[in-house]
Amino acid sequence: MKAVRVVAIAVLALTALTILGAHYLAPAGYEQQFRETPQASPSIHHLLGTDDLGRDRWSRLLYGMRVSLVLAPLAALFTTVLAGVVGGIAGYFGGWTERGCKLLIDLFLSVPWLFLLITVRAVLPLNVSPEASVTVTFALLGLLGWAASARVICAGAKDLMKSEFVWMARASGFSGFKLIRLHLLPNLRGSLLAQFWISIPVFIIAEANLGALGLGVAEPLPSLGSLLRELQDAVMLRPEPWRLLPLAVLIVVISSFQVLLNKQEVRT
Amino acid sequence: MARCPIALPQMIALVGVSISIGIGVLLPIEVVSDVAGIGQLAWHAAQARDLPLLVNLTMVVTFMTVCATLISDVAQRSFVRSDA
Repeated sequence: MKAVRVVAIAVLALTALTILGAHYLAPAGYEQQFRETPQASPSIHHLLGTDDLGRDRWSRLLYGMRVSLVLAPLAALFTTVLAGVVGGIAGYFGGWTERGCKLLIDLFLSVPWLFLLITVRAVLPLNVSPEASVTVTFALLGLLGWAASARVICAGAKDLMKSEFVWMARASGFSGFKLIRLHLLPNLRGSLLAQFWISIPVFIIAEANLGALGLGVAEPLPSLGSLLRELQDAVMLRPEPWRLLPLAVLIVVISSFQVLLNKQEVRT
Repeated sequence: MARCPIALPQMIALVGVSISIGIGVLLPIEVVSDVAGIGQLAWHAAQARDLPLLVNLTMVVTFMTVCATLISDVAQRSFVRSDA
């Protein structure tokens, strides 16, 4: 089991390096068209061939990984902060505040996020810039994904508020802010970190879902999801199996995340 | 109900949660495998910018999810009470 873990860490480290060095590793820009050679086979010039518009697939894969794997952790950070604030408030105050926050959490949990996401994406105008579309997509993922984490944080904060050392601190006159900073945050750090790591693969998959439906990141900007759109003409997969590489990359990265998560034991 | 399995209440709760997840992933599956249903309808509506249809579909799916959760909650409670 340890070997699997080492492999997973190696894969993630390699991915991180690839993302950082995408600018140097990619032979061409992600939007640069080689109009003389569309739909080319793999060669020394184009490692994975070119797509229908003559863009280098290898470069697009590198830049797509950069978009997905940089923005998903950012969205995860956002959602963890949101979950920490709402869950912390619910657990700290209790009573009516907790009931209100729980109601909000239940509401967010029962709304089908995929339907909501495509609704909001449909509100955006058609000629929205790629940068705006990618920001909106990941901001939405962060805004919608916090409910399950908030429930965990709320339970944790509630337990802490009942524990003896918090009673002791309150009895000796700790103010609210100091209590949160000295006792609640350090003790909740483990579950907050766990929620952060759990959210990353979830967001990568969610973006891939949206991208494969054509409702994620707008062209010409690539992402792991929008690269999957090429798989839709299944007839071409047998003569050109290198088209499957984005899918393979997605599966390997998500599996690595899951292997590391399983080992962390803090999974809730 | 004395002989019902111990894990049954938890299983029922899991069913309630699974139903909502299952409805949620209708969309990509129906679009990819070209099956006419709520998911594909929503996808077409999103591409045609048909906002009223999209909002209504979201409400319908939310309603279904809430109903599933409610039913599983009630079933779970009835088992717990009859056990005690």
